[in-house]
This record gives sequence, C-alpha cells and structure tokens, in this order.
Amino acid sequence: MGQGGEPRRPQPRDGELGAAVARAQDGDETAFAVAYRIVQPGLLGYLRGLVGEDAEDVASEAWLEIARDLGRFRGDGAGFRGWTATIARHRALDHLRRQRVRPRAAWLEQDALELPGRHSTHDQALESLSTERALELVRALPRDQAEAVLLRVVVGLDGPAAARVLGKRPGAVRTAAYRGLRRLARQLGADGAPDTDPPPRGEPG
Amino acid sequence: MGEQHSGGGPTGRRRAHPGGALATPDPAGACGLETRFATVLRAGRVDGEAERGAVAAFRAARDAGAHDARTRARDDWRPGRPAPARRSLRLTLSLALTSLTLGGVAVAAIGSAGSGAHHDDRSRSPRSTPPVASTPPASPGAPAAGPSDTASPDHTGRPATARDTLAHCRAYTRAGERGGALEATAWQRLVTAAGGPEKVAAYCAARLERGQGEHTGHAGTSGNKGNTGTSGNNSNAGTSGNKRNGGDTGNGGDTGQGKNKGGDRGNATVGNSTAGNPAGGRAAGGNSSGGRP
Repeated sequence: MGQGGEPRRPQPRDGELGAAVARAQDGDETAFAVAYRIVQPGLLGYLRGLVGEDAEDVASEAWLEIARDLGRFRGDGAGFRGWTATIARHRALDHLRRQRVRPRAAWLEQDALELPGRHSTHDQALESLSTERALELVRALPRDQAEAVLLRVVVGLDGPAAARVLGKRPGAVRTAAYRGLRRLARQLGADGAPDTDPPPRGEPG
Repeated sequence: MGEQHSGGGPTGRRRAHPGGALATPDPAGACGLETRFATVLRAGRVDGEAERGAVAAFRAARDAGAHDARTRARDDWRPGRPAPARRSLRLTLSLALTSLTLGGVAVAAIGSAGSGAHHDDRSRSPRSTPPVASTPPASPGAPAAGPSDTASPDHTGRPATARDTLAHCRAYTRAGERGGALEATAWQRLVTAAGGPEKVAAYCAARLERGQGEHTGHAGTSGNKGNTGTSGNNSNAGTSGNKRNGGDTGNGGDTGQGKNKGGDRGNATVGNSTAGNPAGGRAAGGNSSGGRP
C-alpha cells in the first residue's frame, strides 16, 4: 500500500520506445507506428478514466497533435510517455468542457454496476476484476486521486513526471496516488467479501 | 472494448507486466492491486484504424515540414531539468513582486510631483467640489452665489473661486469696456458668473465693492475676524464650508488690497473650524446684502 511514494519502476519498453521516437523524429513512419503501439494502451486507459467511453475519440485527437508536434519533443522514452500524456490530458479536458456545455448520458451504464463475482478472498476479487469494474472504481475516486493513480499505474509515469503532467507538486501527486490506491484496495476488499450485495458495500467484510 | 479480461479469473496474471518486480506476489496486495489495475485498464483491442490515422497524420506533418518546429518548454522532457511548472511559479511570484514594487515607486513619484508647492490650490481643488452640496443653506443670504456656484463645475474642473472672479473683475474694470481684452475663458467665466454679458459690469462693481468693504473690515481686526469675513465671502462664492475657498477669497483680497497678512493666516486656520461656518455665512450674508445695494 505504501507504494505510492516510491519512484516507479521503469517501464519495460522505455528503451525501445525512446529509440522508436528518435527514429520517428528522423522521419521513419514505421518507428512512429511502433511508438504508437507502445504508448497507446496506457494513454487509452488514462483517457478512459477521464472521459469514459469517449476515450478513443479523444485519443485520436491527441495523436493528431502528437503526430504534428513530434518534431518539437525532446526527451527519452519515459519523457515521451509524459509528453503524450500531457497532450492527451489537454484534449480530455477540452472534451469535458465541451461535454459540460452539451451534457450527455453518464457513461456508467447498468452493466458497469454489475455484481462482482462471489469470491471469498481479496485475491479472487482482484483476479476477477473486469475493465469496467476497475474503471468504475477509479472513476469513483476524487478527480486528483483518480488521475494520479492512472498516470502512475496505467501510463507508467514516475512521480515527478506525473506531477508535471498534472501541473502540481510531486508531493501532492504522491499523496493523491497513495490515497487513491488505498481507497481502491479498501473497496476491492469490500467487494470481494463473501455474500456482499451492492447495497451494503460499505461494510467491511 | 476490453472484454477480453472481464471475468478472466484463470488468465488474470498472464498478461501482467513483464516489469519483473511485480511478478512476485505481494502479501499486502498493494503491488498486486497496482498490477491488476494496470493490466485491466491497459487492456483493449488495438484499433488498427486509429493507428493508421495517427500514422497518416504523422506522414502529413512530416511532409509539410511541421517537424522542424521549435521546441517549446513544455516539449522538453529531458531528464534532469527542473519542472517548468515550479520554475514558472517562482518566476511569476517574483515578477508580481517586482511589478508591485515598481508600481509603488511610480505612484509615490506621482504623489510627490503632484504635491509641488505652486500647484497647491489645483491639486486640492477637486476636493472642494463635494461641499457644493452644502451651498443651499448659504445661498438665501447671498443670491449672487447661484451663478458663480454653478459656474465652477462647468469650467474643466477648475474652481471658480471668488479670487478668480475678483481678479477677472479687476482686469475687466481695468480694461474698461473692452471686454475682449480679457482672455476668452476668463471672460466666459465672468459672463457665467454674472448671468449674462450685459450684467458683467454691474456684477463686477458689486463684487469689487464688497471685496473692499470686507477687507477694510478684516484688516482692522484680528485674524479671527478675518476668518468670518472670508467664510462669509466664501458662501457667496458658492462653496461654503471649504477652507481653501475661504482662504482663496482672502488671498484674492490680499492681492487686490496689497496688504494684510491676516488673510493669509486666516487661510491656514479657517478650514479647521467648520462649525463656525454657518454663523460666518449668515454674517456674511448680511454683509453682502448690505454692501450691494
């Protein structure tokens, strides 16, 4: 649980990503596709947490900007994750602003509220965690906690990079990530309790 | 999207990060939690169409030469550099402080320049307008106050003090009937004060006469008496209860009569005694009505 404060382990493909970005900056479009495939899953996960089902549209917008501005970027693979996350975040915030003007139905549909499987242990709750359920849990967090968790866990940024994306101090982001993860663990534990139905979810199992 | 992993109990860990460290199960479950969330939230079908779109955009930008664009601060993610956000916060703060300081200096400079000695009346004159509201009590005693009172706001904020009027009147009488000898604004002011061009002569005669009468009075007595005299005059000028105007009136008398420093001293002390004003005004009312016919 105390993992929130430690620097994240370097993402496994950061070296590969950095090399691909460098080649793409030299004009290699195959290398750009490689970078896309490495970065896109984390970016999409982050955007799902921010804008829900519109994540793919927002990601496409973000990639247009990334493709256009690639020549401006300076940094390695980890830096590229941070840079792209910043761009994606701006697009997501624009999207949310537009949405506020023209509200849409909440992305949480009935199936997102489906019962977790009847598992008796925390591990089993984790095992059976679906994408929808995980998203629901993350999106139920306060915004700063959700973003901190998503950037560090899903995008794979370290503390300073996540702080830079969010425009906050690293300490604040570390705290937010820590609280968010603790809350997720608590809720998962509650979910995984035997004979737990949604209404009394708040009770500890 | 992302349905592959829903309910995927048995395969749950299969796609866990190859990021090594997490492969060892954490008894506390925190690492497992992070890994699991990472795996689940990163899951999803790879959208080939979206990828093609991104690559096409890349190609277009490359061919258009967009990739030669300059690196902005937010594009520089090289390690070891201070986070721009924090630096800019510090920069912003220091800039704000600097501008505050410079602004304060500028304002102070304005203040010291504005308080130059010879502009004394002018710099304080705008504050002499509010007491205009207190004119009505005084005006019954001094009908002539009306015109000169309304004249003051008309003339570009410059106070139509009794001194001005008196001076203009003197210039007018010295110039004889050739009113054109007066500068245009002074003449206009006189006309306004008198209530018409043809009344200027009578108006000035009355004013000069009254000014002389008062000054002989207050030259003979103490500065205190001079106060009542000037404030009475003041009510005529339409801005009663104001120390500057009272003092100005005294000043006008001074220049005209060429004597008595008592008026000047009255200038310094009159303003403080606002309570004495109504009485002074009333006394002056009698004075002026007595002097004019």
